[in-house]
Amino acid sequence: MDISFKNVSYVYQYNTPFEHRAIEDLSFSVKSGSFVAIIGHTGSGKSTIIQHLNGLIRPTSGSISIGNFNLSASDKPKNLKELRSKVGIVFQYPEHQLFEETVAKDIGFGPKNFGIGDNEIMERIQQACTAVQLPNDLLERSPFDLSGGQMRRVAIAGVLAVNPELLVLDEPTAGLDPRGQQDMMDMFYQLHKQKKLTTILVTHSMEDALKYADHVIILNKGKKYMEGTPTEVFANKDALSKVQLDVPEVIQFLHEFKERFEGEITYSNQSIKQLASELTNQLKGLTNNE
Amino acid sequence: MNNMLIIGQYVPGSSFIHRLDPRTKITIIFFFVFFIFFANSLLSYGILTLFSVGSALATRIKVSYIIKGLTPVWFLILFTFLLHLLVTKDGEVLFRVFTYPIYTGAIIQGTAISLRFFLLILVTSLLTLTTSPIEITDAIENLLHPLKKIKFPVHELALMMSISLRFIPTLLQETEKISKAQASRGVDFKTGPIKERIQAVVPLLVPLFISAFKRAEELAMAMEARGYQGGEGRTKLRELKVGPLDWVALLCFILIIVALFVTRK
Amino acid sequence: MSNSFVEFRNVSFRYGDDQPWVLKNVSFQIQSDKWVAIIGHNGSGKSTIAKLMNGLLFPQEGEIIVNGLIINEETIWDVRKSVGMVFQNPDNQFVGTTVKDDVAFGLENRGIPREIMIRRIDESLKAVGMSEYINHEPHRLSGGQKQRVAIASVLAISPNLIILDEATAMLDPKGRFDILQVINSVRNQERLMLVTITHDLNEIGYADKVIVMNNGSVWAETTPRALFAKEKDLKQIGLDIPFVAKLAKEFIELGIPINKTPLNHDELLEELWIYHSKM
Repeated sequence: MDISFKNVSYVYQYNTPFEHRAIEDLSFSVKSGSFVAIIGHTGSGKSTIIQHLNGLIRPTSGSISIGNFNLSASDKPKNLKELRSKVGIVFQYPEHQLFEETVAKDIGFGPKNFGIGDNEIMERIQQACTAVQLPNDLLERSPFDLSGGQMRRVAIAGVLAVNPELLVLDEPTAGLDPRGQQDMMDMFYQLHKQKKLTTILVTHSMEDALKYADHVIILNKGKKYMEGTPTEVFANKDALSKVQLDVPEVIQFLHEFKERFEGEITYSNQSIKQLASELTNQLKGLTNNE
Repeated sequence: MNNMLIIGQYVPGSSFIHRLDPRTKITIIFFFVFFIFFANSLLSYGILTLFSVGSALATRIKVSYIIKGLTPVWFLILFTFLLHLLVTKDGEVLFRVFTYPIYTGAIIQGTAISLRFFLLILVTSLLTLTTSPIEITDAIENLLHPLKKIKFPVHELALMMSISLRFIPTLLQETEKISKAQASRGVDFKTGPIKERIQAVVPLLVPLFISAFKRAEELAMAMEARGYQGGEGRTKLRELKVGPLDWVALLCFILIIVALFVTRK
Repeated sequence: MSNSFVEFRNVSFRYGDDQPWVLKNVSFQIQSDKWVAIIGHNGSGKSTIAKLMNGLLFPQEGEIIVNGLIINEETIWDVRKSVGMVFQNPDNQFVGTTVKDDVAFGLENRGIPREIMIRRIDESLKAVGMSEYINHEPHRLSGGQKQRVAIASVLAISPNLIILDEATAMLDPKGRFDILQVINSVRNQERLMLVTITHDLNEIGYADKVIVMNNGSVWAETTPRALFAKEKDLKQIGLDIPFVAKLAKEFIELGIPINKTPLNHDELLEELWIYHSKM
């Protein structure tokens, strides 16, 4: 799904004393099939963007197109439900939205709302379970008897079961332990590739943005601050620190190395092994020059 | 929109009404509500109106805000007035609407009852407009203190109220979050037949209750970890103090009441 | 009696008779003046340890001694005077309707006179850099700010031990950074012990001692440096080592001598510098 935001602004409680501008004159586009990371501090407008993506809110000014759907202050998509069936949003702590008696019913809830037939739903539940690596014997259990990590997988399966074309992930690994975080992100990346999804990841983790995204958008106070490939964006350490954002640790280290030894290595997705050997060569080279 | 109604809203400020001890305000309002039923002459009504409107002005809250905030109440007042016009049959027939007679007594009584009603609402709103909910809680705890002797759980009641106040904004935010998550899963809260709309509330309420229970459990644990073991032996940071201002206010109020009785028919 | 502040002696715990054991025969000691980090994957029993430490839960077997007292129904109130705790969810531990009231809560519970209360509230809010928010309501604060208030509330009762039970897990990087700053500064100010329960690898680097939990048992009790040398074993129990430690390992394989496993960038750069200047 191609997405484009054109000069979008959104103001909460418009025309009241409590007026609050959440995003301002924001333009960007996302190509179908790409993996985009949106980064910014709490309050930078990330969650406002997410809510526009499936028409939970409409822009105060400007226009948005998501696939064939258009949203603007005056333009309300006729078929909001259809839009929502194509855009799957995994909200922060998605396990908080579980409510059915069984895992299977909860996963099937979305598809049922979107008018999918019973047999098809059964199939979708199976597929979604496989996708999130949830054992089938949990299907008839109550979701509230599961562990935190499993509950989150159930909630994610519920979003996937609708077969979205655009998958929006809002801090999907918050609260998980390091292995849980990595497993979860690897799972999303695999889904992204397999199902040819368009994926938007809202995150605080520079490491994840670097590892998975092919395009990064940095937000600051409701405006677009930077945009580009992860290596491009993270190469500009000074600009990022100006808005109190870090660069991924590996890039940070390379900077510190440069300051100390004046040897420069640009990051281009090397493994730690490769980095160590490049850095060693640098060190040796420096010595030889002296 | 809910922000139309001001009953229960608190508008921070520093007027002398804001600064009165909440117990003073509650006491005055309690007696005002009682004595308003003694008014029966034009002058006595005039005095009470003067007192109420004067107090409203003294809060320094915009008059337009108060008037607008009472919009839903205006309808009730108007309704009361009309009801009296139709039902009361005292005095002379003043005029006729089509063939229906309207009596002078009906106009007088309708006005009196409506005015009483209006003053009641106005004065009680002034309490919540100028006193933060937590101050009201403190005052209630303090005023109910004597009931402790008969084992009435005064402290627990006050704690319950203050914790509810603390968590209302949190739960409102939570409600919004969950309803957005469920709307994204295809739940339609806004259109469709009544039956379906009622069903749509289940996916909202269940998670909300579960989270509220979880919060309650965690909060109880946090309170215990912080040494909470009931009201016994606790000291309090919040302190209610009756100052000269409060005595002045009480004295004024007593004078008003005396004036009320003097001007009664 | 030993001179340790906290001691677990063969502690086992489960939530019910038909439930699996969360902790199995756990023993360890925490000596004075130490920052101890307890790590482990989710469900390894690390949070249960925190709750046992100030009597929010009681073990079925074994005993726990804090500040010379064996924890039981009678001693818990005394234990809680010396142990303060900050929980994971910033919202669910904020009792007061304003910042000031929240910090007061623990003091009120202990019957501290009002004048002293006011002074202590001011001091502890200052220590966490939240003085200007004294009259704020909780829903106007960020998660990180709420956690700072929670720390202030604990500081106000001047405990000997502060337990942070995944206190940074729900925060954004900025909030997390602020909390670590606060912890570091209060640790230097007062005679205070810290137990942090975490899975943030960079947080562990600051600790003097690490207790690694795995499936309800103590898997290792060691220093961060020694721990970060065990990459393979840690991975097996669902944990990892920080980036610098990984990089250091690669250098060693390339024949560059790294004498001690680095805890941070500076330490690694220093080792490289030594190597470089010797060449």
